Amino acid sequence: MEIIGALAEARPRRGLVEEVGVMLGSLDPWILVAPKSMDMVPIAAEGVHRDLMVVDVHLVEEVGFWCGRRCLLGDLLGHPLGHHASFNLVPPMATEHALERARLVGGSAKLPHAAAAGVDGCERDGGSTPSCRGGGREKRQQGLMGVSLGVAVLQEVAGGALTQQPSDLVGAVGLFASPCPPLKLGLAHQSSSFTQASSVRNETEPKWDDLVRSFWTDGVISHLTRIFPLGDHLSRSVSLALFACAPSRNRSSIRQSPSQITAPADLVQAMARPPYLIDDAITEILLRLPPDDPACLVRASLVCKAWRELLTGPAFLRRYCAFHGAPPLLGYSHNIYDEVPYARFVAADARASPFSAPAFGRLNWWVLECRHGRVLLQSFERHASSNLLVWDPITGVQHQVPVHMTYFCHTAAVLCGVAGCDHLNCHGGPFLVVSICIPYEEEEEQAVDFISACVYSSETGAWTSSPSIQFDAYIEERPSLLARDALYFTLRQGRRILKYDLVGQGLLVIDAPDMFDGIEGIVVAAEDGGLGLAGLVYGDLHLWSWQAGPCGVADSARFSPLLDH
Amino acid sequence: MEVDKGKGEAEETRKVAEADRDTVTLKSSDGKLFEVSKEAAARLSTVLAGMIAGGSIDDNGTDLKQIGSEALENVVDYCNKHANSIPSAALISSSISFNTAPFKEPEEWERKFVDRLSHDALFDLVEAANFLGMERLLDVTCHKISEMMKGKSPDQIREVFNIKNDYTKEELEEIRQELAWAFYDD
Repeated sequence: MEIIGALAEARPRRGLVEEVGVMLGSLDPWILVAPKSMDMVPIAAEGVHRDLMVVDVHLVEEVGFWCGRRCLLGDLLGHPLGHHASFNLVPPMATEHALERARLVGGSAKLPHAAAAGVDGCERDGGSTPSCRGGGREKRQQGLMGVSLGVAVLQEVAGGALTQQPSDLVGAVGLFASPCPPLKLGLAHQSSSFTQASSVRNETEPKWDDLVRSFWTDGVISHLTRIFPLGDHLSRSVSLALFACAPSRNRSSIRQSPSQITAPADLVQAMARPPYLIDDAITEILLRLPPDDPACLVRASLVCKAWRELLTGPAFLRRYCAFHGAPPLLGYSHNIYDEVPYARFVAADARASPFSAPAFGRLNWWVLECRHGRVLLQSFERHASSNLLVWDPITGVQHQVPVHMTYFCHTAAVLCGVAGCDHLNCHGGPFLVVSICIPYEEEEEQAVDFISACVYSSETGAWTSSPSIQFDAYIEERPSLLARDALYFTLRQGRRILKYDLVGQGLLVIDAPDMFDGIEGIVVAAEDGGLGLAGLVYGDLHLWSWQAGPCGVADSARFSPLLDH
Repeated sequence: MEVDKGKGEAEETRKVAEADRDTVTLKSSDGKLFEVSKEAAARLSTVLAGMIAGGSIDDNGTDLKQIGSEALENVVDYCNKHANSIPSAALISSSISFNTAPFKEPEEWERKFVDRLSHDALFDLVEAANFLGMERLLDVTCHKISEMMKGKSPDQIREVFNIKNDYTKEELEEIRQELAWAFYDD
């Protein structure tokens, strides 16, 4: 039982693997799954991966980096201590195509079994029953599930030869993600919990309404199978042209009809006309260069000047993004706590990575979140000249955000500062930092807490503050959600949500539905692009969306459960 | 005018079912005639669909002056094979919204179809597909060519496309240094 052996080896090293869990990107649709344990109900009831399931949402503290868009990643990949750990990025909805691929792959069906063996092992070891919620022991077990899964995957990939190279781990993840069908979110309706959730509804209170489906389009999933093609060198999952891909929500808006998006006529004209040059068919061909191998795009740009112009033009970039759907994983940043906080960035592929090495690694810093190609970090050094830093992994530029003198920052969010930007190429452009903070004087003396949102603009280099509101909840240090023109922060273990309206600059506290008491929901983008909330109850994934009231009035707004479609 | 043996057949067909023929006749740049089912032509080519709908199909052979006989033969071959294959759901959806839906992998027969083509024939077929607005065929052929570019150096890619290098040595060197990461295995 090699897997158990590996578990035993990994376990005493440190508790980092505890943090494996479900990953639900606030902006992005990737879910981390771990193998099914004894008492969890699988939420994917079809396909070869029915034994995989979502584990704990709230264990995830790590901030990931999905090509300029923020997402959460469970810690683990490429950890310097070389854990045999890995996880799966699984889109929750399958297309028939993805399912078909999954069946074709076949071999992956062994994985849950192998991983389950690992779970058995740690369960005996831990001596208690794994649960979705609860104390450190359960967390540890879930972490170990993640580990065992990673081991299983690696063994499948490397024919039993485990390797500790981060890039190989990424590869393993990719490999496994590729055939993964879909966690159909809708399938959660099989659980009784959705019925319970529906009972929250009544006519007077804010309530959850019927609405459904997953947050993800079919294209994202089928694309995933292409990002991580089986048997390819998976870790080259970087794409030059996709660095600043627009959020998936906006993707539809950047789709254009063929006539709108052909290469500029003058460019085509400028091209020489050798025998094999086929005018705008060149665009069609270059468009199909794999996003997981950005080096290929770079080499193509060296063929001739016309190709370079074509490849680097905004029209091509837009179309390339639209064509390939979800961009591949470039790398991710994560937090480690090893005596001191340590923020670290890991490129997906150390070899063919466009990130200048060493990318990032700082003691006493902590990654707060990533958005629009920028990473926001917070310093733990009390008297530093700046306690917030915005780093652009692509350009390598680090921007120190000056300390706000009269407020104490609780958590913060970073976003592109250009209105209407499609974030295809806003690297180096202006950005905003929204800090949720407490006025210093009030922090110490007053019985009732007040809270403010302060906005820093890189253009003006100055902070502006919004009116404060009365407030008595703990702000979770979790990545925020940007949905429509508002930022959402998690409060009090997910029982409440703080909304900051970027347009009206007002703060508003929203109560989560009752069912989120004690299950630590996280904010996610709902299908309609608005606020959504996700949480796990005994292995069932619950998704709710926030519905504005008939007049768009906040008071009449309500949460709605996402039922099956 | 040169008349090949396909013409006789075409005329016969026309006599049999003058009113509602279920095929269209296409004429290549070098005057050869090819028959293809009207249904397949309309379904697979936006250009032909438009011509059929607009009544601009010439029963004596619609002139496609931009397409050589070899490429047109491949186009017709593709249409026939496509009609005979059982299209999967994925394929149907991709031919509807080619430019918005992410690319669907070529089916086995499509892969075989492009694999057997010579280098020249493949490029000619891309042009033909592009001209006729045959999105799926364009998809499959372009995919094949982009696969041919994998792992190739700029020099090798130039060879594939028969493109002349218009960079100076210094320009190349500058870009290579700027993007050194992309040349890790050179």
